[in-house]
Amino acid sequence: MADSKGFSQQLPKAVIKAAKNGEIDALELIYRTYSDAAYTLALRICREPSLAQDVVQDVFIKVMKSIHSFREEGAFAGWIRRIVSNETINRIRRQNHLQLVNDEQISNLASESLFEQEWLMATRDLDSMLGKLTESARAVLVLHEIEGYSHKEIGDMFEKSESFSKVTLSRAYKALKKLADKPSSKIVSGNK
Amino acid sequence: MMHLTDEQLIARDDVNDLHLAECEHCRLKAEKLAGIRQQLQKLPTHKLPVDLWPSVKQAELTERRKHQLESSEKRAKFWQISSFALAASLLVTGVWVGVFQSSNSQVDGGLAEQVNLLIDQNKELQLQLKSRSGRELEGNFEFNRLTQELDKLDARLQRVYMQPGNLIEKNKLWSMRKILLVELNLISKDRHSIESDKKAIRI
Ligand SMILES: [Zn+2]
Repeated sequence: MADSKGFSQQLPKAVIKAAKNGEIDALELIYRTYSDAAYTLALRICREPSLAQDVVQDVFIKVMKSIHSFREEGAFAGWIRRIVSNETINRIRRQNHLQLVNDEQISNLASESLFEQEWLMATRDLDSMLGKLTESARAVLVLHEIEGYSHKEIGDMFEKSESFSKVTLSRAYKALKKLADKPSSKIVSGNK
Repeated sequence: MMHLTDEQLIARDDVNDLHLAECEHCRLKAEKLAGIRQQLQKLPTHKLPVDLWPSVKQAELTERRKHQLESSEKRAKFWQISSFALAASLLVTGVWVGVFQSSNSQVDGGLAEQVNLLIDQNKELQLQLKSRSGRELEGNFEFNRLTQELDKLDARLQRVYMQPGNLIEKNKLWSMRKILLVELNLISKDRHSIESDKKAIRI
């Protein structure tokens, strides 16, 4: 059922309606359709398979519990994706994994050399490079560049400002470039 | 010419786009960023290594049962309160005085006395129950079932008292009520001692 199309898959309205009425088969179909996408997103951010599985389980329990409050005018997959994002961020926040940039760091940030060469094209394993970023950097990168959330939305998820998201994103790119230049280097400054 | 910073390239807006339209240098950088973004989009998806549906479903069904139980408890609680209130009103308004007044023969007199005794016993049992039943009984199915029975009986009693006489029926109903109260007291007594035992163990 679930495939690489992830959150772009759409379920018929009738399925959502049946699920809202509490029909277990419809709820299972929702799980089967989006569980891999949810796992992928959670894993990309937290990098810990067991934690990502916990997130997925909690997310779908939450989905079952609150589906009646889902407003049908919105995108259902987007609604689930938002729950996954929030749940993952909350988990890593709770575990104190996040190293958040402070205002001082925000002010001394400006660069012009990040995209002068095609550094990433030479890198075969982008996925493992992402694994070497701080969790906040990786989370913002994934949420903004892959999932398409705005800086404002990401700021809200972290209970931080919009500029927190912007700054963290450029720091993520800088860290990625460093890793691409020196693939063996373990990690950039300020990482756990 | 001032070029765009990396931050401006990442967070594009209308002003930045205007610059890009005019500046080859920045446009090339923007293309490289677009290339990176494309690669990010192509990251592999992961397959959930375990089927979590059984546990998700279990959690959902447990939640539903809990919900059902809560509403049945609420219903039982309602009956319990209304039953106590009704019984209390029957006892307080001196129903048993009416019992004597309605009896005019020797036979009736004996039966009326018996009914009177039953009412007193009901009153006593009811007080005992009231002093024992606490929150810990709310989820007890048997307790809830019996209180509902009690309520039905109270409704029947009330109907009987709306008509004169009918001592035999009154006698029967008060006896049934007494048995119910004895059972309820037994349950609440057990529960009570279980709770005290639990407390004792905790200490
Ligand atoms: Zn320029």
